[in-house]
Amino acid sequence: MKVKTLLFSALIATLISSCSGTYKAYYQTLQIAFAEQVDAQKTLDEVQQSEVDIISVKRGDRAAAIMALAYIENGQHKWVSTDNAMLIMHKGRLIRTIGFSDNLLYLSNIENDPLKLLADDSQSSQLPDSWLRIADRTGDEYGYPIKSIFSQAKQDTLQALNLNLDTMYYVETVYYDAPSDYVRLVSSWENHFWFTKNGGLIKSIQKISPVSESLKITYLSRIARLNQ
Amino acid sequence: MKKILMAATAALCLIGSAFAQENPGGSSASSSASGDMKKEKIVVGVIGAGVLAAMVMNNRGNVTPEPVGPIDPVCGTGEVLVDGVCVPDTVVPVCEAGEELVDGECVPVTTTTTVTTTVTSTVTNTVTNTMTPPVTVTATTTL
Repeated sequence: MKVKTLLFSALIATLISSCSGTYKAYYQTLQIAFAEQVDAQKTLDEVQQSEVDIISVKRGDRAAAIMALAYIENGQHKWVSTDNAMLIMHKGRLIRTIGFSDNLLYLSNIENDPLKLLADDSQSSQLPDSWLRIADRTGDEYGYPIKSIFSQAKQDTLQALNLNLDTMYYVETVYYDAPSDYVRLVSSWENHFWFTKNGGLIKSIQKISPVSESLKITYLSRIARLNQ
Repeated sequence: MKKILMAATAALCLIGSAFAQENPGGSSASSSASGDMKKEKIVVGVIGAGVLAAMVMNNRGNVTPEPVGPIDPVCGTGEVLVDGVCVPDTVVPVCEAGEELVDGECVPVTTTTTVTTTVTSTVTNTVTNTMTPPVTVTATTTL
């Protein structure tokens, strides 16, 4: 028995000794590639105890991250991540992004954004037929005229932080009115918004262009305050 | 009535403040955040192809070295590099008057003089013989 064990150990040792550092590098690369992405999560209690307002943001298929409210300037909410990405929003609308590979640089006509009316339940019935603005993006894509059409509100129940929330759900269909500088097959997409009954935006799914990855934003601190 | 109004006012304030009382964290806000937003997506297929290509390339082991040009030798003391070869460093001496440079050395100048002399002489030979007839005289003169 001992001889067999010794022989087996010697065989293993021989095989292992033939493994070079290169194969270790391959293994580590594959480990990173197949590593499971874990969402950053907060409990209701953690959110309530946070001194800073936080949101949960899921960008495309990536794991969700928690972003914190850094500044409120001129009615614009500026949210930052640990890796110094920034989302700048006006009444819940993404008007600028910083730190990503594809950034929204400028959005015009935000003062007439229908999201402002949706935030006020009494005015939500006065939604305009459409909303026009111009967007500038990185990659030399400037001056794109964009048109939005909002759907009528639907009642929806949203689950977040183990709470069931009654919401008003709106779909914004967005059209790129001008041909792209580059070959592009898709020229429209949908943004989604969930408001509380009293007009607070608590969740949205937005894209800055037809080819951009979606940003699913859940306003954790606002939801936690609703439960207080 | 007053109490009802106050209670209603307070309730309205609370409803409104649910979104008004937002707390920004300023420049240190990111410490309240977690997770990565900018992490780029890893395309597993591309990684697999890359690793496979790397393995194939590494296992070939027949990398052709780039051609290396001729390397100049390092010459010793008293040598100089001429056309990639070390040759002795020769110093041409300066010869003094009456000397000339022959094979890198100063030697006295040699003069070759050719002298041609013409000698003219007159030779008189007196021959006295006592002869008994018949006499036969044979004379040969050689100068």
